[in-house]
Amino acid sequence: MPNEKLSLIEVHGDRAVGIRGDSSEKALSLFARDAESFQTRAYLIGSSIGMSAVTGAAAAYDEGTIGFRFANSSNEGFDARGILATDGQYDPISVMSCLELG
Amino acid sequence: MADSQTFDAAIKALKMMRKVRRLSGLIFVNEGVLLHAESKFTEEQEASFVREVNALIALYRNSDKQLSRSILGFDGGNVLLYNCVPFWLALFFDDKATAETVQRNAQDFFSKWADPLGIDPSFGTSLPKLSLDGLSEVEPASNESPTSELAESAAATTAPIRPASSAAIQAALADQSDAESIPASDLAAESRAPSQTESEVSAQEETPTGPAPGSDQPTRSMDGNAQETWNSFRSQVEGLFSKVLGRAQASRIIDRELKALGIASDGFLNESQFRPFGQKLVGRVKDRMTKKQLETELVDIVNRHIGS
Repeated sequence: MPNEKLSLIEVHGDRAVGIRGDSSEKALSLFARDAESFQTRAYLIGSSIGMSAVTGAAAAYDEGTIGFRFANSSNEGFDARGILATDGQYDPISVMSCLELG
Repeated sequence: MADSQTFDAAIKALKMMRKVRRLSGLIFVNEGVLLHAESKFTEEQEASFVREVNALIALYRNSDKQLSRSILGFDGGNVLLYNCVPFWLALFFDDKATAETVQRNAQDFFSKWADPLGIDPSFGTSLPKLSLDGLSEVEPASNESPTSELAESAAATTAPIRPASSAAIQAALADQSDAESIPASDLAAESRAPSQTESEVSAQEETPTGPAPGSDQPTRSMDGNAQETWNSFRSQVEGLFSKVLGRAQASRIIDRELKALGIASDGFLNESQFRPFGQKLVGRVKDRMTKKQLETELVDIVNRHIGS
């Protein structure tokens, strides 16, 4: 029985693929939409202080948490890895740790 | 409502926190307006940073969500962000490994100042830690070709969440002088794919998920543009270091560093790693003047390759 509230997702090119937890299309497209706008904002924040490459980011908001990080190298076999939780707020630092470990 | 004396005292506490805890900087904002900043950035950069964080907070607020905490990682440092309405606090730190310590200090600050500043006292406590233990694996339908089966069973076509070029983003957001006044739907459309036309965006909204059944469109993996970007970056870094070493020696040093990172000989780094990788190479140079010169040129090379 999949966990309906938590998804570990990998992005390969233009596809988001569920790796663990909820891998429904609804979860994947919600992640894709939210992560896209979040990373665009993160990019602009970084650019404003001369750091134009985002390595990753996580955010806790009402009833949810989202996080992503880009692959460090080709060895990792994905372009980005993400987490979407819809059951509440989690510590963003722990989200980033989970993204490192997978 | 906090008065100016309370603000002054809170700022004093933040200054102390920065001094003691070796933060690389902090920015404290009240109702979208800069209250206090201590950082290595210029005033202009600080103002721009405040504007962009306000826009991030507005992005969530316009979607009927309230951003509470966030961590942002960049190639040159990290930011821990607390949106404790009507304030927000950004803490800058260099080493990812110190994030927990920075967080503890922020929580100490909030537990002491929540009441005087009139903010939610929950900012003085930790959020639950996320764990993936026990989270079910998505099982491939067949053992013979797990990757393709997995992709077919659980894949959604998305706008890739790779940083778009700064030019594309700036162009898309050119009219957005104040994100707070923009409806959430517009923001979402803009930030989903800054270079797309309206019709492309609406088409995507209608069919937000999944390729057509049976279609197996090739993925744009890191093997394409990323490989080319890396090759170009590597070549220019080799050129840079050939000013102080032989070209062959510069190439060998790059190979050695890659090997130390566990990167295969035909592998490459993602652009977010260009700056730290270059800095590691520059760190090998002993002479301070030469090092400084190389650092300056390295930043130019990195900036030319990021978002290209």
